[in-house]
Amino acid sequence: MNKKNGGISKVLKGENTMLLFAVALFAVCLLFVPRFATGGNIKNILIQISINALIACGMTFTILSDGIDLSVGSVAAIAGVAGASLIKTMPNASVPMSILIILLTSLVIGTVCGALNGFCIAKLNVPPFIATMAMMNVARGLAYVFTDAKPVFGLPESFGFIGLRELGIIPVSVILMGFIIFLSYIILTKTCYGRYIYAVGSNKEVAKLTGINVDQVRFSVYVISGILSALAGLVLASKLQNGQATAAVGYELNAIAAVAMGGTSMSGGRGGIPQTVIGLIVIGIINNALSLLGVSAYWQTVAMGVIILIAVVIDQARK
Amino acid sequence: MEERKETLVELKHIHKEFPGVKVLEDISVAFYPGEVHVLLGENGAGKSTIIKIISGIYQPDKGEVLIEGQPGAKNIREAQQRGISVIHQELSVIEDLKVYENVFLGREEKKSGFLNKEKMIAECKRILDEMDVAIDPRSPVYKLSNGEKQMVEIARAVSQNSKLVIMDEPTSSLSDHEVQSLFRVIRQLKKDNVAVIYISHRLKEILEMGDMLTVLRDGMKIATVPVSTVTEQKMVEMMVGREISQFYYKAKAPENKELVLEVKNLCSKNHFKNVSFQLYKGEVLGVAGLIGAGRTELMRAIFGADSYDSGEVFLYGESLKGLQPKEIIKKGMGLIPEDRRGQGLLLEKTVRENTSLASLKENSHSGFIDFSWEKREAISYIDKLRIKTPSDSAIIKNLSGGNQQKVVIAKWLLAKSKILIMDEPTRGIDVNAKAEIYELMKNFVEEGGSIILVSSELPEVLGCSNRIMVMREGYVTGFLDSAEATEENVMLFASKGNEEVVYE
Repeated sequence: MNKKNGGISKVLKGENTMLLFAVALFAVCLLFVPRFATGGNIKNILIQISINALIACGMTFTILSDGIDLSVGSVAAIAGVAGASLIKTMPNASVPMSILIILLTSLVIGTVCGALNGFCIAKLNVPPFIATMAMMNVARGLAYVFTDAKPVFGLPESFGFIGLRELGIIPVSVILMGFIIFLSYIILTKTCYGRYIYAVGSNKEVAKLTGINVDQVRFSVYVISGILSALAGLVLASKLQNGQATAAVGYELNAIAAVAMGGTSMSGGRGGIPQTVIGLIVIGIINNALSLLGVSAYWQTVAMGVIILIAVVIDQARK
Repeated sequence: MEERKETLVELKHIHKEFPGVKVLEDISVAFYPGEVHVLLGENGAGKSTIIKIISGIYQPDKGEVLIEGQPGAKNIREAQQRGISVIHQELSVIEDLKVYENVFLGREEKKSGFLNKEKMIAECKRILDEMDVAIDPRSPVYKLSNGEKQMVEIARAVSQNSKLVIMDEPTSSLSDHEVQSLFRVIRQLKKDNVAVIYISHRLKEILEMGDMLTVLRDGMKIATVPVSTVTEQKMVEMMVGREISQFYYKAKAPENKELVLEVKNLCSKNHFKNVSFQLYKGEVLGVAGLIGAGRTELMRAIFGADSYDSGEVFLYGESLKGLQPKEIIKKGMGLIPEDRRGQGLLLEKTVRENTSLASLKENSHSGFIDFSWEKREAISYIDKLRIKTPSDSAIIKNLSGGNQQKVVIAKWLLAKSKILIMDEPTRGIDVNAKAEIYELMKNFVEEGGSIILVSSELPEVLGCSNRIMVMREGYVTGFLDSAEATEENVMLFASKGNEEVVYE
């Protein structure tokens, strides 16, 4: 390491750099952004990141395994459309029935899309970028075909339970986010399967020669990502009270941004759910603060791009 | 000693420190044109740092470097321009480019602004012919063997008309035949009055090729002497600072022949043909041969990592046909691959995680890792195998080669492997760690394990094996037992067109 950037990279090498950044950002917003420090606003931030959080958890799995899933937004859209169409046939559906439909649709659509991705990647050796980009087009196209590009309206009120209601003072979508984050964290840090994902992401050949079923690991992370994306699509449909083929466009980039931002390596093997959560919070705070400060949505997009870039620069400096 | 010609490179009282470690202390040594100067020392003795200082990658903290009487190079580019080229231990050829493109990388021949391919190809061919290596200049580098890739790097250094060529363990991936070609090149360089700095752990080579010898230990210079005044024994003693009584450890051949592994007529199209052999409990079977004899490919096939076309492998009488490494590992086999950093270890992970990886599932509770078991076992193996590491949580890439290899061995011991395939297990490992690994191997077979030892270092194969199988171009050309095993016999089977296939 030469002297010129020794100082900077030393700071960046600290494991908790992003955490410090998140805390500092939060403090600055508390002090300088009007209306930021209210319970209602904090709740808003959590609701705003809850859908991206589900997708980002799945994305963490694929990226840790040295892959990526670009199809998440399209899978969310097709799942939202399918779930909305299904629930529309049951105008008097109860809340448990709606929840059941949402979970079943996520499971079926997510597994099918994810398994196709996983099969192409693990068995046919298609690069993840290409395989999931193909799925991104196929799923989005099918969503348009099924709905004739028209939104699916007129859904029973019970369908909005997950996206709109609260349990006590906590929104249901935020509880769901917490549960998925917790579950993902446990799988990645406490189970053999989680350890194998890291091993495969670090070096597939080493993993194979150590007796890990590399194909199975690579296949399964796309199924997980598919299911969580589909679930996110249904939460979104529940929140908007409709299913539409144009939903969740560009969500893959938000999820990748959250994962990369937290410091998970884009080449696999390093990082995890805590990093993704930090990334989600930072992105959530920045978007929220910019809105409160009256910055236009267009400029917010610019800010997002800059954030992703900074995140990758940090990742490089760490190496 | 008589006054010699002008020095080409001279180091005067060089000191170099990294945070917390003194890597070089008061090093003074001079390198002369037309002379092969060997640097010898264990890993971590400071050889690589000296090279990096000469080639401008590092600057010394104290002391001075003189290149032809002028102050040393400030960066690697300047060093190159002043005639210093380095052939690194890790191959630095670009796999996707062709041989001639690698040789002329950064110095391409041009004709009216466009690449002059014909000229480069012809020039490259001339250099390769001079070196007596049969490589097509138009061949993409990824198609070459490791040894051939090394030759391409050497060709690049030769083509630069360097004044000083530094070779950092150039022979570690070469077969004996290729080593001889390399030596021819070095002799040619000497004749052209080029200075050569040569780093190697292979003592025989040093005696054969070296003129001067500088021994380093822990960043200090022990001595600079003419090679003609030392012996192998003497070099080892200077290097480690004490006498080494026994270097290789050979276990007694087992008395009862209990068959554990049998390979029958194994064939794989471009790699090996009709290979049959038996492995018995408690023995070390050495597998000798030149690079490219198909040994690594054969071992990977036996382990289930690559498929084969025909033939069969039996482990304890059970066929392994169609099984993956995952299942074969469960049956008690372990592979220590040739490429430790690329295939043996998760470099970014900890010693603990690398140790436990092959036995994680068996010791888990319904899929959940038993972290206290993991830590306990890792610490116990660090202790048992004397792995030098700050803790079980140290990232493995920061360990020395020998200690990394011990972790790979620990991984298989923990997984209760009974048969270990060791492919070049001591490549790039210093003398002390080598001796420790030989000792581990001996203990392993004495406790009822069996080892297949693939090695290109003849003394190692001869010193450690109870029987030796020799391969040439994918065929098994002979088996030798301890009594018949001499370097001459092995080389006979490994290199000559001996059609008579000998079985025991």
